[in-house]
Amino acid sequence: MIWALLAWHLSLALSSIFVGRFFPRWASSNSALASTVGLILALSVLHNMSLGIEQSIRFLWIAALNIEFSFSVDELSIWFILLSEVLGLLASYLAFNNKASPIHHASLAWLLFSLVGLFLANDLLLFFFFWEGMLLPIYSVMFLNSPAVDRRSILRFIIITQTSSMILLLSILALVLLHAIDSDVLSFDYKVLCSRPLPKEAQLYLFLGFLLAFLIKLPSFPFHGWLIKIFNGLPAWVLMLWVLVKTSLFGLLKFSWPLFPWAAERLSIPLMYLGGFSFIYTAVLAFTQKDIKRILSFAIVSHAGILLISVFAHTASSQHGLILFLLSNALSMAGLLILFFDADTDADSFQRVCLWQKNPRFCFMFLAMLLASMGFPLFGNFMGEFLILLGIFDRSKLAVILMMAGIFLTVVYCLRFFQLVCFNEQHSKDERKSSADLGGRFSVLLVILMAILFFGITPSTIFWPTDGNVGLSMGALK
Amino acid sequence: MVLIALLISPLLTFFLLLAYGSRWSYRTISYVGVLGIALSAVLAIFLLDNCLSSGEHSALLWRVLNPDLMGNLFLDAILYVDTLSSMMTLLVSWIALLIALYSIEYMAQNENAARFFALINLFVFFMLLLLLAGDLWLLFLGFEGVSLCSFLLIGFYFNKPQALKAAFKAFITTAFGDLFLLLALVLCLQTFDIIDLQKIFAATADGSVDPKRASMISLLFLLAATGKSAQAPLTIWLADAMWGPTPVSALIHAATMVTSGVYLLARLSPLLELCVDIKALVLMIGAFTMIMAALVALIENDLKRVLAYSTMSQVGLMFMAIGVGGYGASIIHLMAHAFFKALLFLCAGTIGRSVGSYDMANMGDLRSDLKKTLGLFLIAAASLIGLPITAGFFSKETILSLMKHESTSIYFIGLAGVFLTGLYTTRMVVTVFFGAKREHRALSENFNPITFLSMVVLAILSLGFGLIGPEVSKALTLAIKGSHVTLYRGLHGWESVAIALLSITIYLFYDRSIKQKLVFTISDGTLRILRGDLGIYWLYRALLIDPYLTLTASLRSDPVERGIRLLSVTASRILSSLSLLHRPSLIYQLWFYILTGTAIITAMVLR
Repeated sequence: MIWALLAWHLSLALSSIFVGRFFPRWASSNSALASTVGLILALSVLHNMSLGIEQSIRFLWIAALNIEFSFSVDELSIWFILLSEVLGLLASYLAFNNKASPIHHASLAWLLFSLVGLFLANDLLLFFFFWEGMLLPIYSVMFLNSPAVDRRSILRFIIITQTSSMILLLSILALVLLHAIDSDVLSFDYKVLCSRPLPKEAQLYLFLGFLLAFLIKLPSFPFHGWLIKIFNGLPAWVLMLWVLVKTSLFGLLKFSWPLFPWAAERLSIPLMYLGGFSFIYTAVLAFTQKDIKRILSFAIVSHAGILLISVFAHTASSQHGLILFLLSNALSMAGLLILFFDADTDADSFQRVCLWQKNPRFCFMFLAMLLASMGFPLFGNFMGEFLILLGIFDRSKLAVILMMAGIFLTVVYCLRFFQLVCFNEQHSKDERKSSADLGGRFSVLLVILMAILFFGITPSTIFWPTDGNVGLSMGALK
Repeated sequence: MVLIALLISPLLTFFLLLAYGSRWSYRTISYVGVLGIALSAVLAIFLLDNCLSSGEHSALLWRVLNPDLMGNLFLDAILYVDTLSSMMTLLVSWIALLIALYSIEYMAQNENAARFFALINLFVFFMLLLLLAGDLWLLFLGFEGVSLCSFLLIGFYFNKPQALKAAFKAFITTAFGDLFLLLALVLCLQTFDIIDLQKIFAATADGSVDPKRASMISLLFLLAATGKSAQAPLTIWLADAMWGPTPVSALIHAATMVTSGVYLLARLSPLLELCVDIKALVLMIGAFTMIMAALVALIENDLKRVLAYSTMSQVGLMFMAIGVGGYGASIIHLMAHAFFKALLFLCAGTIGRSVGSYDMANMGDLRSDLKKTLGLFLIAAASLIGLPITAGFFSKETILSLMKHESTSIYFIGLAGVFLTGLYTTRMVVTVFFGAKREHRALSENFNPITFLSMVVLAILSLGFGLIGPEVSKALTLAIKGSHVTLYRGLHGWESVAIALLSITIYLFYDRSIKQKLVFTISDGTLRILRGDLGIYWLYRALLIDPYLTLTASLRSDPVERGIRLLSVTASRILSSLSLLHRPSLIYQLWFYILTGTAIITAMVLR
């Protein structure tokens, strides 16, 4: 099944890159096809997991360095794969709706392939290849199709991402080499590396390396600047896959405790504070913004803070909360992106028209998505936050307080956001045509809403295939 | 079955109105809107009947979290029906029905009527959920849900910037209170591994719980209740909430939602009984708010704001009742208050319509124009003051006798509240209906029969509730654990009557010139202090709002991001000055360093 999943995504990615130029129509349906079939394949992987079937691929790739071509799936990665398939579907819908060029669709297909590969990779160097592979479509979209982003922002983005990659690569190499010195086995295999933790000193430095790379990509305070800058220039469908599928969160979960148990434990409390502070700081900034897209970008960064807290709480309930929050938050943010990034609606129209009066469907969906992201108790986001709170309660009281403050500030900026968009004071003077109401997007958003509600109302049903062992393999939980 | 249908019916109507509201005529909209609530109201009778005959019972709806998912946590959605919740359900659904009937005429001219009726239905759903919740998750859902509806309905007249501001303020303040409920939810699950309220009470009863934990939890619940019920220190939102349509003020901000804090505390009586300190705190909060709000009501000039402060003051009395252990008595007063305050607001709506504003400076001598309204208003006002044979008399008596039983000083505070209530109510009646005639439109009243009927029913309840009161009181006292026996003294409680009459007399026979001054031109300083809830709002401004706005203004340009940018720019300068290639593109440059670094490390290891 894993074979099928990888091969499918690779073939579609390649075909849309090479064939898409000549058959634009094929390219535009291709990314949707990739994620639809990919979703079915991922679900069957999940089904196999629940039956207890071992699923992995493994053969030697570069014999000299003992680098293996090895993939496997576990209770953690399956959620990330499912999330990327679903967001891939939404992203291709958004791209199709906005009549994106074939190169965009090809980028989506390639991005999806890299994501799935990244989540399945069991070899650290393989992981790094996919990590770099994710950047290729982003760069190509930036250079080819985005006159909106200025050169400086692009350059800064490249420097930042490449720095992050370089740090990651160096850390991986150092880890493998130190491990080789320590145990006389040169291996890039995750399991082998996990089996024998390094001495404390080395753990600390290597962990900091991994951490820095992942925090930059997440992005977390204080590295959030790049996201805010490129948010306006990149198309929303690329952002959806690139930012909402938290690859670095996956990295943190997969690597920190298993590889560096001592260092992760040592730094966990300060890192929870960092997460809490990131949550609050960006929520405050989101309150000050006037531009809709900037508010959205700050909201995305802000919610990453909660995820950071929950990773380093490392308790059973925070781990469950993390998966729930990750899924529902990604869906609600995707909903907001679908609402605001559309060819029919330009940002200008939000400034001039009283939407509450003229576009009731838009306002309904907008309010629903906002309520989800501000933690209204019917939605999955709330359940996630709640379980995370429960999980961090015994770990650190200060983290609880920081998180509560963050939740409150989120309510404040979300309400302001709602009133800013829906009730514009200038509306009475301007009688211009309002932007079109949702149209076909309404049903898509309704499906998203149903999914988030489902997560919120019966959260435990989504954990059944894995017996609730979310990420239990990722080091012993408290 | 009855229970589910009772809850679902207004929710269903909400969705119907949401989907088809724009296509239907006003008549259909209003009938559907009323029907959803009417169904609940009828079913509520069966629910109460059921409960009285077969006792309390709870219904497990579904398991929210599978208990063996992580360490035996029980998170279930449970509905719980006992005398308290079924009586409250009956009260809320019937008040909502009467107010919805009243709104048929009130909303007839409004183009957004579908939205209004939809939101009212949604509100009723969440309110009933709040009342019937047997676990903390559903309770929290109900709490947040009513806040949301309140937010949307306060901002219903979205052309008015003040209404939007008031909606924002109300939601933020109540959300702040709800935060404590969330924390209480977490703490309960931490302590008891369960959120079923009855099981929590059972666990606290056997004394195995750390008393500090118990009082921490009840303190959190108390803070949540103050937010919802606009008690000190979270008083600041209720008066501004009056920007909403008047039926909304009657339903949400007088009769039901505002009193849900009292309901919450009564529901938690087994927990509160364990924590004497917290009960004393409830008493203090209630006493302070009662006196403070009554003083402000004395100087406010806006009719609806006077009523809002009066609501806060009366809810303060209910809090005091809880503080002295009279859970049943507080619920009795909650009911009586719901009747007469809803009626007062509906009358105010009629007055406001005919005058064109709610400013009492524009009113005066309306008695000849609005005869029926005057009658209804007088009944409700008498009940508010607590004149004999009215509902208010009965409920206040129950509370006052408990206070007298508890301690003399508390009793005197209660009597002071009665005195101030008499004063501001008389002032309100006199300035609106009597006194000098002022400039106003003064349309003559011609009531739609349905509107009039709904008001008359409320008037009958405000008058006659005392007749069935003792029965209700007995049932409630038996049902609520830890509730003190209420000693209804009948006419023996002459002190309160005397004081009420005294206050009216003082007001009526006070020298007219001084009275004019008392009404409209108290010295500006005092006025300003009183207007801001005795300085509470000023404190919020000075300690929270202004600092936050200053902070956000100074952070707008994101200084942290700037710092990081400066760092990266410096780094790239250094890199490019080190560069061996002639003006390479940055990617190649970086890869060059990566490869060099890799090579160096490999060389080091292989050595």
